[in-house]
Amino acid sequence: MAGAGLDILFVFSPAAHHVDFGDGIALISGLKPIGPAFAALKADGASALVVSPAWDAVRAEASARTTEVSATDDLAGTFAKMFKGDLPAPARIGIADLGKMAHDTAAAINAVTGAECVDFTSRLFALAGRKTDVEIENARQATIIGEQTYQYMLDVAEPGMPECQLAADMKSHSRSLGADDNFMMFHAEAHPLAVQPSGERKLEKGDLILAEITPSYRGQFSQVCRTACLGSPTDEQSDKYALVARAMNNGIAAAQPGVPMNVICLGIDEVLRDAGYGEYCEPPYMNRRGHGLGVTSTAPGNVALRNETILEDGMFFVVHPNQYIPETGYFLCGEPILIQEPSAEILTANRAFLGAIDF
Amino acid sequence: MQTMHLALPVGAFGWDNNPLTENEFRARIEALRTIMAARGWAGLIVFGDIPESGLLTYVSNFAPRLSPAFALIPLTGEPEILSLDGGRMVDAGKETTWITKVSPGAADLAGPMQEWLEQFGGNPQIGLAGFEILPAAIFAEISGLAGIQAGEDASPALAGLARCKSPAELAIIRENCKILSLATAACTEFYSNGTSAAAATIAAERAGRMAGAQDVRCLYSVDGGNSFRPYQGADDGRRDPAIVYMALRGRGYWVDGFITIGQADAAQATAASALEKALFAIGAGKAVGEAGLPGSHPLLASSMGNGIGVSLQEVPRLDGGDDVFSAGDVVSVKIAVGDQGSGFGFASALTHVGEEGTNILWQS
Repeated sequence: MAGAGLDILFVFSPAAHHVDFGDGIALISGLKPIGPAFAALKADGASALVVSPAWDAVRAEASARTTEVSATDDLAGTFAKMFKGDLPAPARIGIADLGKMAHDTAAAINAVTGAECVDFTSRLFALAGRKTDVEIENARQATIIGEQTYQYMLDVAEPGMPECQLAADMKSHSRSLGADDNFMMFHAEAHPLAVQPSGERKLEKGDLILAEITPSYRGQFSQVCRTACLGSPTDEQSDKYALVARAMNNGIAAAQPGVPMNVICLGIDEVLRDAGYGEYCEPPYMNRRGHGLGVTSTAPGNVALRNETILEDGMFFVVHPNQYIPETGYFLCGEPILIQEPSAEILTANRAFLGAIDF
Repeated sequence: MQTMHLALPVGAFGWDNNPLTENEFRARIEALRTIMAARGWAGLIVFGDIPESGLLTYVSNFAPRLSPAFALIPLTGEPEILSLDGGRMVDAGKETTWITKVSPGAADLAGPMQEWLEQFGGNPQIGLAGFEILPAAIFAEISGLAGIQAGEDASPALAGLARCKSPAELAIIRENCKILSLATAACTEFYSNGTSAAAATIAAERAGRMAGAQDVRCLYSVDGGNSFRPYQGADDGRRDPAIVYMALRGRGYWVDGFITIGQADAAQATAASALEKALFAIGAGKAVGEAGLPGSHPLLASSMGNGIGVSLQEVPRLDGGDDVFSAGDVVSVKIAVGDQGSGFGFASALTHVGEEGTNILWQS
């Protein structure tokens, strides 16, 4: 804030809870909001959190780390009451994620702050690119839940089960293990083209089950990407999956503090291109080979060729080649990794391999 | 009632197995068009997002699961969906709706929106529904388009249509009440076996999901109803009684209610008695104010209930206002009795208002 010449920073959250977006309120206060919320940080260190709905005051007061905490059913009205006529010039006010708020609320906030405030969104989330010790411990727990949920799927999946029911079962199972959320992209078919949200199709023998298991533990997501064959996989499926896993490992081997994110992507692509799948390393087949994991911040961003973010100790993200192979279909294959001198630690206890489900 | 929602709803969203027919949706569109013609709206745009997609669901059955979406409904011609998803997610979205044209708007929202608006000429009058939850950044992308900036609020008109439940909708709600009963029974059973309130809540959530719920959102209280929290992970808290609020959605329709688990206390009995009195006051043509006034508990401070259906909170609102119950309403009535010192008792019910009387669909 000092570097940007800010006297005060306002951070907003619509409480959208999306695996691909950071939540500034969770980042600043440690509280995952139920409804729209804002936090104010002053240059002198004072901070305030205002959450909605009003009845969430007790939970907010018990767990938020800001110096002041309150709750309201009228967020814009409360903002005006707290700050109208008591703010510096817009150039000294930072704003993060106001654009995600309902437009009427955002307009009412702008009427108080002035419209020419400094957009601090990207800087705020970039600052949180290195996870705290607590977040790293939570990431480890989330990863354990992810692996246990995958094992549960191997135990219970059988032909005739609607894929959405299996996905719901897995989501519930991960919740019973302590996950506060689980972004479950889950899909199955004999020759999948990509992963997508589960539908009502019933599982059939020979399906490849794609499971992007993404539990959140105390507000920190992790992700475990797995593929399992309902029945015995063919030799070709096993060979091609091993290729994708080898590509992933080659990418992860390149990950270390001080190198740009895109070296991981190049490492993955190198193996796949050498095997003759260069065409499938490009859009529309491929956009990213992994991504950061919120809910506080998704920095350092996507594992993508265009991402030149320099990796640092404490950065946490998932590396997932998640590759379409024309002979076999789409494979999910991914591990959560923590950048830690001198290289990267893979947080999963068991590495991705093509699972087989007997029934 | 607002609760914590989870990322990416998982459940049976498919159009192919939906009990509502295309004719039912087309009848809704025609009813809407009568309103549109009366208001002079050349088109209607309906927005929905994951936390609240009710009005979008009402016109399309489309379920936003990763990104929000718009339904674009012209006064004449076929409706279409503009999803803020891209690629494969759009394909998944197509499987949830009767509307055949579902387009991606992730890369460029204003372009296709403008193209759709251009069919109405230079300066069309457009109705906008669900825009009260539209994020500012998305609004900024389209607010300059002719018809949007001067668009008229269509949410009340659409909510008014959604209020009166058809027999097919009522059948879905009845099925969802059965799921709610299964889920609350699981909650009670787990708690009686000595688990924590959090574990019992998760057992209820699981039972609901396994019985077909698309979404389950719960809160629980282990301090005599003074405060409620969503499930945030393992929590050993127990108290007799504990109170659980559960909202679940099946085939696009919500049901909700409070249950008391463990040994019920006097406050719960008082709440149950007050609920009976409130239910007696509900009927077609009766003023909502007769059902009672919002209580002192923060959860129910502004309303002791509301209509429920494609949204968790529909009209009428039981806030002591001058609205009147209508035949076709499905109302969620919630009562809290007590105080912070001695604790609160909660009771709730879902009731259908018919021409000939009311029918309790579920009761705590």
